[in-house]
Amino acid sequence: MTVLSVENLSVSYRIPGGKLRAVRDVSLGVHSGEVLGIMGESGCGKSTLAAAMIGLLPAGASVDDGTIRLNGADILRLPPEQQRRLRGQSIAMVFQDPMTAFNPVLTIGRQLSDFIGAHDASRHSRSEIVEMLKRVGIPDPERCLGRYPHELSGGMRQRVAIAAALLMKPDVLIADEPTTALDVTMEAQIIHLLRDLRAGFSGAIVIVTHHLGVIAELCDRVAVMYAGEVVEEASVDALFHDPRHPYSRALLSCDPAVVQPGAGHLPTIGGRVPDLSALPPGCAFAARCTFADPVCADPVPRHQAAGRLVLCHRSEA
Amino acid sequence: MSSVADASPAARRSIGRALLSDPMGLAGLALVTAFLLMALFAPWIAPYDPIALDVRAKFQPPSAAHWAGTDHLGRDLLSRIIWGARLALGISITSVGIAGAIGLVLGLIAGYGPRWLDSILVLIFDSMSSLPMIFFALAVITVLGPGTTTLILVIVLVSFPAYARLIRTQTLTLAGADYILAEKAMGAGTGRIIFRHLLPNVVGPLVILICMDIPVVIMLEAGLSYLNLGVKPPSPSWGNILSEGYNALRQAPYVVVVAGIPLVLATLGFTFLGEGLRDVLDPRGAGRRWG
Repeated sequence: MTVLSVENLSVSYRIPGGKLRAVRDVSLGVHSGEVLGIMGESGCGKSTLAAAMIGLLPAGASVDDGTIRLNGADILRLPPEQQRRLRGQSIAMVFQDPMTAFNPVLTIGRQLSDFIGAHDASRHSRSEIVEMLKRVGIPDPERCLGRYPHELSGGMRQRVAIAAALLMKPDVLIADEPTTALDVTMEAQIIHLLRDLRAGFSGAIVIVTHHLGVIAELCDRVAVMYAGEVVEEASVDALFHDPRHPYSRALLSCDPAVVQPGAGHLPTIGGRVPDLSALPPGCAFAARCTFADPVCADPVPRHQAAGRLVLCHRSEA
Repeated sequence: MSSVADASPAARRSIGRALLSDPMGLAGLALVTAFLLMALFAPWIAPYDPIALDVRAKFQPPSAAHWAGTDHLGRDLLSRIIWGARLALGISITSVGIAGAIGLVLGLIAGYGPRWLDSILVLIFDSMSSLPMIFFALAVITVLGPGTTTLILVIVLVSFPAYARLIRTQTLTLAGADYILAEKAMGAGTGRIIFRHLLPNVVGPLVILICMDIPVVIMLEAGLSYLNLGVKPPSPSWGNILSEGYNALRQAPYVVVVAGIPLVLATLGFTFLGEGLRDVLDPRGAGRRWG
């Protein structure tokens, strides 16, 4: 069952003298039990898409077009109070930086029970919280409840943040760069934790990352974003073994893990993401693409077949 | 840690300790406590009735019977000063407290509410604080007539914009914090965000500012009373005592001195306490010891 679906979503930021089109005509869906990865380099609209999904776009950003359905309900058109009630309960989010995700003046226990209290003041929550902290691998969860955020390490805080997000058993969990702010060891631990949690979690997970390892380890399906567009969508196996879009290919060939030892240098994609307020006609990647030819300035066709989607003139899906 | 004040119980204990270990903060705390006790227990401490006349004993210099001497109507100056503390602190704490509460509420609304409301409130704060304090006070007193209530009203009106602006700035900074976004992502409503997350983080600086403002208010009260525009005689305001002492400066110079001392000490006490609190509470302060 599709729990979260995004249809033809466009989001833009108002900037002096124009519009910055951060998300352009994106359609995606996740069903329960599935893990969807959203991949792409910085500034390609991943985080804006994630923020739109949970209804917390930053000031200055607005949805121009499209719908977001959570369990069938069009959340963009719900009154704010109902949107608020969905957050935490039906859809929850884990943020990038666990160091700043907690109020420094309140204990962990107080903040976690607050999250429950925001939805159901009558629920007796302590044992639930302890249980959840145990599940995310917090040693001695009872003591953790009385601690302040600064008394926990970054990895521990991210575990607590994940526990907080899972506390209300949401249908969709969005993790926006959940490991980016952590060091490598912690990152590996959090990836393992998320993989373990998948087993006991019935909802859908959306992971936004630029880390190919995270995608490969955790996801079922991947959407590759470039300049606000989903340029390729495929199962993880299909994408990693047979990337069709030149951008996906370029990204995968830049992964340090696949570069031959002794290669001397790390491959990069030349150029930079185009200015989102003044996009070229046709394919946005054409300027950096090794396969580009004049046809790329024409509107890009959508090749859709066998669970794959590719937006490219030069590649058949 | 980026927030200015930490309201956790453990942190509060360490604030207390840090304040006590700071000589200036300790001196401030001692002076303020002394004045508070004086104000609270005035009826029991004061050796005489502060308004009882004894014209035969007028202008007596300090002696064993009258430690601070007597004034032109033979009233005991020490008793008048002790009762004066009650007036000075009562008026300043009440008015600054009310102004602080108003500033807190309006500042939170301006900082966290809709933009248009913010613009209106900022306009109000700015126009209020553009008025020169003394002239504004004189205008209000002319309209409403002198008296304690007028005095409190004037002080509230002139001091709340500064508090509101402080709270507004703090709130604006905090509203962009990641944990506020995280709270929203967990479905926290506006009320919960304001009272549970913003309020504890903004009261610290307000407490400091209020503490630093109390001496200003005490001086304002004394100044207006000195001009016969504040507390009405025969109430023993320090300003009244000074004013009456000034009229008799040639005969009894000690009256002015005796009335000036508590004014100086109270001002110093609250300023020291405020400075001490700032050093302890504000991590950006030069005398940072904790944070």
